[in-house]
Amino acid sequence: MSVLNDIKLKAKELLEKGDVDVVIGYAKGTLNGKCTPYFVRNANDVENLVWENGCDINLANYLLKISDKAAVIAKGCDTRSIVNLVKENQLDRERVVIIGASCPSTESCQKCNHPDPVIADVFLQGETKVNNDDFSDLESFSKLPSEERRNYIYKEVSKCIRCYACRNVCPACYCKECFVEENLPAWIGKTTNTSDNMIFHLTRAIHVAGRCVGCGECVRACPMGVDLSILNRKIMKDVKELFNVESGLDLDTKLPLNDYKEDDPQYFLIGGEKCE
Amino acid sequence: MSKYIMFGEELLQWLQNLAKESKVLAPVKEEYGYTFAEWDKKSLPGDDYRNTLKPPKDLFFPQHETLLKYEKIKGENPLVEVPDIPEDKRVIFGIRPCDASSLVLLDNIFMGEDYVDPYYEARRSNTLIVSLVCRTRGKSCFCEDLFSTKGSDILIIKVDGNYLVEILTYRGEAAFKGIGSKEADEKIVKKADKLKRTQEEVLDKDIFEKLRTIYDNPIWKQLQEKCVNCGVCTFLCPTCHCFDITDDKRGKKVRSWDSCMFASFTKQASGHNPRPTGTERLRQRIMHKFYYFPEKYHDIACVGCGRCVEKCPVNLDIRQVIEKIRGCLDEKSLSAI
Amino acid sequence: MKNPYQPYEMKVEEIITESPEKDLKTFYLSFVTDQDADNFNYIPGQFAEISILGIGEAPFGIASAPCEKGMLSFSVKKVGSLTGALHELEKGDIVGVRGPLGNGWPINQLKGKDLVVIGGGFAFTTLRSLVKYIIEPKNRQDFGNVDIVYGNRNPGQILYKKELIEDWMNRDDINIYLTIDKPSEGWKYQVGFVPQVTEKVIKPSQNAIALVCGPPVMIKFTLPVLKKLGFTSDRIYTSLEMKMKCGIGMCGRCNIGSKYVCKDGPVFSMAELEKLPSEY
Repeated sequence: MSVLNDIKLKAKELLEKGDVDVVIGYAKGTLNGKCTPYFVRNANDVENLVWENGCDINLANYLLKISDKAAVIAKGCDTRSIVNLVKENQLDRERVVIIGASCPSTESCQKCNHPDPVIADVFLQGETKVNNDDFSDLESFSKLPSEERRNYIYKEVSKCIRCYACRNVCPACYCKECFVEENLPAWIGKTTNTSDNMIFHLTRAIHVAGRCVGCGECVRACPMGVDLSILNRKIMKDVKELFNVESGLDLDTKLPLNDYKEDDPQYFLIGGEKCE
Repeated sequence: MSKYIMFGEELLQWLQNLAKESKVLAPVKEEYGYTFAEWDKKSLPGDDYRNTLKPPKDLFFPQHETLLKYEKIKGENPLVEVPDIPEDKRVIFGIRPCDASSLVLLDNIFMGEDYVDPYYEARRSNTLIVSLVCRTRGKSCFCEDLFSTKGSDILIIKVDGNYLVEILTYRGEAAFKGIGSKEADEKIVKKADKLKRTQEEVLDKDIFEKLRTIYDNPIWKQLQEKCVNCGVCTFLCPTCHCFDITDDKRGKKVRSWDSCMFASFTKQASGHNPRPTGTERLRQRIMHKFYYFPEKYHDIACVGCGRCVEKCPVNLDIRQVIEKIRGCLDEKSLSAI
Repeated sequence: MKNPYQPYEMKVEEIITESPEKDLKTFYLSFVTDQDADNFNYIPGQFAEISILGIGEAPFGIASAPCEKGMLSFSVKKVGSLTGALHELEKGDIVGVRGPLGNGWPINQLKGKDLVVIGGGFAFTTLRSLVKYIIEPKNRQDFGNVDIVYGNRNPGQILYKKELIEDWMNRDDINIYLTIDKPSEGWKYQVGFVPQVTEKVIKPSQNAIALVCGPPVMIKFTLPVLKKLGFTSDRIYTSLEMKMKCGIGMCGRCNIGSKYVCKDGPVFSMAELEKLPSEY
C-alpha cells in the first residue's frame, strides 16, 4: 500500500488509542503545488492528510508551539531538526511520536542528502532517493571574483523586507526573544537599509551555525525571494570539515558549536591559527 | 465624468507626455516580480503582470522613513531638523483598482480629523492615480469589483486591444485634457459595461455581525494553529499600517513598518503583554480588518488583493479564515463587544 | 497644522528622587521658548511622549497642572531603555516632549460633583494633576467634596510627599487619606490596602464620581468596594497604560477593540471598558 495510506492508518491508530492528542502532518493547500500544515485531533480527519510533492514545510517548528502529546509526520530534515531540538533541551523526546517517511518532494532541495528520517518511532519506507552529498554549488560560487560574491549577497539581502518569515519558520530559531527585538541595547536598526538587513541575515546565519540542517524552509518562506542558502551551506560545509559533524543526524553527538574541546580548530577566533 | 478611447500607441504617448512634468511610476518587472519603479518611458506592463509584489502603500507610507534628524552637540542644545515635506509630482500608472481603493482606507488613518501625517498627505496630494483594470482575477484574488473606481483619478479598461479611459476626478480630468483623444463611443462603453456586469461571484467579506459575537470563541486558537507569527501578511497587505518609531544611533528618528503579528508589538517595558500568544494576535488582525476598522470607518480593511494568500509561508489563507468564521457557532461567545 | 511628530524642546530644571530605591524620579521641565509654553495647552489626565535623542520616546502622564505655567512635570519609574536614560539626566539637559496627547480626565462631567480620587503607587501622577487643578482657587467652586485615598507599600514610595503632607493634609477643602500596606514606625496615617481604606473612609454615594489609578490588582479589588458604596460603572473612571508609539492613533498598537488608548483614552469609564474586550 502507499506510504500515505500507512501514514493515515498510523495516525488514526495513535489518536484512537489516545497515545497522542494531535497528529501534525499536511493537508492540501489552497494554492497549486503547496501543502499546508494540518493538525489532526479527530481520528476521522486523517483522511485529509496528504503526502506528496509540496509537503515541504518543516513541521518540527510546531512541536515547540503546542504542549499536547503529539505525533509528527516527518521527513529527513524534520527529523534532523527534532534531533537538534531534543539535544538543545527545547523538546522532550518522550512527548513526541515520530512517524517517519522519506521526503515526498520531487523538485526542491536538490542538494539534500538525507531525504530519509534519521530517527523515527515508526518508519514508513518511502521511495528513498539517491544521496547527493556534494558541495559543488559552493565550489563554483567560491571561484567567482570576490566582488561578484559580495554583489550577490548584497543583492539578496537588499530585497529583504524584515518580515522575519525566514526566522519564524526556522526550527533552529527558537529564541524567545530574538536579538532584533531587544532594545537594551538595540543591536540593530529597524530600517530595511542594506546595512541593517545585513546585520540581521549574517547574525542569523552565524547563530544557526552547526544547527542548521539545510531544510531550505527560510528560502521557501521568503515572500521577496531572498536566497541566502549559500551562506548556510558554506557554514555547514565548514562545520563538517572542521568538526567532522553533520548537524542533527543522531541524538548522541554533541552539537559542535555547543561543545568545547581543547583541540577544537579555532582559526576563526581572534588570535587563532591562520586559515588558508 | 467623461470617458475617452485611446488606441494602441496613444496610451504610450500620453504617458510620455505626463512624464515630462511628473515622475511616472509603473510596474516594472524585476527578477522576482513586479515592483513600482520609475517608468522606462517606452514599455507597458506585459500580459504576465498580475500585480506588484509589494503593495503601493510603500509609495506613500514607505517601509522606513526619517521623521526627524538630529545632532547632539556637547554642551549645547541639540540641533533638531524636520525633513522637508516631499514635493515632487508623481503619477502612478498601472496600479490595480484593489490597491487604489486601499489608499482611500489608509487616508482614514493618516489624514484623520484630529491628526494628519504631513509626509503621507503630501505624497497623496502630489500623486495622480491611474489604475489599470485586471482582465481576470488571479488564483488568490478576491476583490469585490474588478472595475472599482475607488481611489483612482483615472481608470483604464482594456477592451479589444484599445483602452477605455474613465475620468473619475478633476485631477484626472486635468491630466487628460487637451490631448485630443476621442470620446468613447457607445460600442466600447457597452462592451465595458457588459464586462462589469458579468463578473463572477466572489467571497463575501462581510463577517461583521458574526465577529461581534465570537471574541472569546475557541475558533481563534484553532485558526492560528499553523501561523508562525511572521509579518508577511501584514507587510504585504495594502491596508495594514502599523508602525514603530525608533531612534537610530546615527542621528535619525525613524518610522518603520511594524506588525501586530509580532510578539514584541504590544509587549510593555514591564514585560506584560496584552496579546501574549498567536491566538490573540491573529484575532487582532482579523478583528481589525473586519470589525474594528469597519466600526470606526464604515469600510472593511481588506481589498482582496490576495498578496497574503499568495505569500503566506504556511498557506494560512484568509479566505478560509473568513469562511470558517462565518460558519462557526457562537454559543461560547461574549456579546460584550 | 503642526507636524505631529515634532517635539517641543524642554529643559530639565529639577529632578526629585521620590523613593529610597531611587527608581522613581520626578522631572520638572521648562519650555525653551515662551511660544512653546503658550502652544502647549492641556488638561489633567493627558499625557506626552518624552524623547531622548538617540534612545527613543515613551509616553508619560503629565503630573503638573495647567495652572503651573511654563513648565511640565513627569514622574518616571525606571523600567526600560528610555526610562533608564531619563534617570541618567541632569539639570540643564534638553529632552523632547510631544503632546499634549489623549483625552484627559472628563473635567466637564466632574463639575458640580463630589469626587473620590483613588490612587496607588506611582500611578498617582495624573491624579495629582487633577487635584491640583481642582484646588486652584478659580476652579474650586466648580466641584463638590473631594476625598483622596492614596496608598503605597511603604512611606518611602509616596510621590510628592512634601506637597501632600505639608499642603494637602492641612487644607480644609479636600480630605486626603494616605495609607501604607503594613504598619511602619513613625507613620501616623492610615494602614491597610487601598480597597479596605476606601471602604472605611469613603461614604456611600449615588452621584459622586470616582477616579481610580493604580496597579491592576489594586483596581481589581477597589472596583467591588466602589460598587458596594453605590458607584455605578459610568461614575468610575480610570486611566489605562498600554505600549504606545505615535500617540496619535496611527501606529496601531494600543487598541482595545476599536478604541485607541492613545487617542480615545487613556481615560475611560468602567462602563466604556465593560463594552470593550479585556485585552489590556
